Amino acid sequence: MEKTLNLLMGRQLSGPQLKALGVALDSTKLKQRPAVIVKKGRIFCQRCGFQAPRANYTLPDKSYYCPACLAWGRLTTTMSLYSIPEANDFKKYSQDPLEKKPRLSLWQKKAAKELLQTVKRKQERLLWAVTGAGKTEMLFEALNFALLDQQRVCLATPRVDVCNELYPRLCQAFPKVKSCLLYQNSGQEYTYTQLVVCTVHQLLRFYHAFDLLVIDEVDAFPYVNDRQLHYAVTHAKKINSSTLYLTATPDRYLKQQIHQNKLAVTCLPLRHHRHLLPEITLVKLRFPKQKIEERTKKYLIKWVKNKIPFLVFVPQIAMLKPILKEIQHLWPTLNGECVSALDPDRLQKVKNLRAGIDQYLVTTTILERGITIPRLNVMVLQADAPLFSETVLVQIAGRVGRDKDYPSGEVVFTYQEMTFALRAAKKQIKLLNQKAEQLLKNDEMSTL
Amino acid sequence: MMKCLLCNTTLAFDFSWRWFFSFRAFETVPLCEKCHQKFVAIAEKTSCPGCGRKQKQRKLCQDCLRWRKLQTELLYNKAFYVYAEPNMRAYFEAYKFQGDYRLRQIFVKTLQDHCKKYLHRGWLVVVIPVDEQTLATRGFDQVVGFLPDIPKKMYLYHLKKFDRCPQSHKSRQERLAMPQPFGYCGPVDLERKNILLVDDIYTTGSTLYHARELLLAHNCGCVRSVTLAR
Repeated sequence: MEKTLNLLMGRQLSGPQLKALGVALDSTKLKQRPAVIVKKGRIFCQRCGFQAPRANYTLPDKSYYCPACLAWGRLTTTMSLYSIPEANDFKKYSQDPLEKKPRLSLWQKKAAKELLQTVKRKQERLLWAVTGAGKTEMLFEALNFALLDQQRVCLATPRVDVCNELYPRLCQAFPKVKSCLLYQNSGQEYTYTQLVVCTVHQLLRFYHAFDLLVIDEVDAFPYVNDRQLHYAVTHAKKINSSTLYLTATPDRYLKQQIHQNKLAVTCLPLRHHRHLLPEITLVKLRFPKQKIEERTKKYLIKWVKNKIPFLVFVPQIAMLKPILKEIQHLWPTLNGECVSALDPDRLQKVKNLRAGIDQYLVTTTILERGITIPRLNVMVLQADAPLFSETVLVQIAGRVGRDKDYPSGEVVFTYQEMTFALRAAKKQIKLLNQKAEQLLKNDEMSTL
Repeated sequence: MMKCLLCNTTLAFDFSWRWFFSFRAFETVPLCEKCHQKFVAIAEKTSCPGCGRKQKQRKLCQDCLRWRKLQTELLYNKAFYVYAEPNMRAYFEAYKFQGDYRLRQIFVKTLQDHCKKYLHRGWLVVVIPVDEQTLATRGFDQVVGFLPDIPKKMYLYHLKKFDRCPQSHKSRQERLAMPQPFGYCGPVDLERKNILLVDDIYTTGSTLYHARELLLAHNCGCVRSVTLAR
């Protein structure tokens, strides 16, 4: 039993969950706190931070329950949350756990150094690096320091796909460090490890566990504007801990925090291959009814001729099939598929595109981030739909030209009415490119 | 401002003049139109008269024909929605197994209106009970939750011996072969009063027929049943 208790360090569990694991609730090691608090007629859930007037959430025995985190097991006012304080019971490394240091450019090195300083001083920092700047590689040095220091480290991200991509890369970089990958229905049991890669939702199961918490893609759905997940993040890390946020496209809230000097920021406007971001080409459509107009077809014809793989983004799942049919009708010999969040074998389809079996994919915003295919071009149909916000559009544009050998590419957005998001996306890319040009110029001056 | 309990969209009310002059309280179901249509309703005209199953024609289904061979009279169950369908299953998963008690509000009106019709005619409403262990972990009785304003009779209780395995974990064969799971704790003589049994789901009917057997042994009149899903 002592053993199982040690394995649960840093986790928080309710009474029934502990009983199911065969742990007696009267152990001295367990720290107990009420699961749901009632204050001035409102309930406050201590696991997910939900608060509301209590009247709606009454049970017949006059207790109250939290409706927001039911999927993690119901918590009521009569229950307690149990946790075991994190003791950092990890083995000490005699040498760096990071086996092969990645090659970094001058600015990447500078950014990595800043991140390392942040971890050393236990502070917060946002790394704002453009799409394809090599964010993960820049992290390694900071992670290396934390792991060497016997700190417990967690990399959390809102997207399962990003988790799945990050985990093997980290395993490769830190082969000696015990790590685990957690997300819903991952099939992997929780084990006590120094390095944890998980979705942000999994953080609800932790309490004061991590010394270093890295959140990748902070601006992605569902983490943005979700109070519950923000609460989970603040409670999963220790009180004296460091936090790193990574993003290519900070949202308005983050920008505001930077502006008010509440959040330190490292900005990297240049990609690792020292080329600028591809500019957005806007195409205004005249006839709303026609699905693919001559003006947009022009681009597709060019891409097909040069055998460039491309992605077509649409705002709704219902639009996938008709657009796919139309492209198939235009080029019957060309292979292509459509992909959405409802698709179980979407990973396979992306692999097909990468392998060159398919030449194009029609997709929803599910592929907006996390995929890297060399020599890709991108088209967005109905880019004026409200779903396509500034961050989404910049992310989509960032799929293009990520490879060293093909640093340029075309990004075509079609629209009928100009929206704020379209204008802002175009402006953001322009601004980043301006900054990048300045950097390049300074660099040339210094080498001369 | 009310929100749909299932999809969290804000509900729009349309106050009509007819409602204004009816001098009644404004009755609302906290569910949006879209979510309401997701549940597959059973039309009484074409359903099986014995168990309320959704069919193309109104005639007894195979299951009810088998029950008729065993019993003198059928239960003539009334069911409102189809259970073997993902949305209803998801609803019961959230309501019963995750324990989101406020979800009961969605079907309170449907079930209470039906029960009231029988109460006016002097019938008794008897609820199929939940065993004690489940009640302790769940914190509520899912059938009682559906009937907050109805005078219910708790004449039945679960015998301790048989509640090791919950109903939902048993196979169809196991359920049919199940011995009497209930005990009786009502008055010794029911004086030929008619009884309406209420349960949440009708699957094989064995639970309800077992309950009826007990009630008939205590001299009740006619026994009918109503379930939310079939």
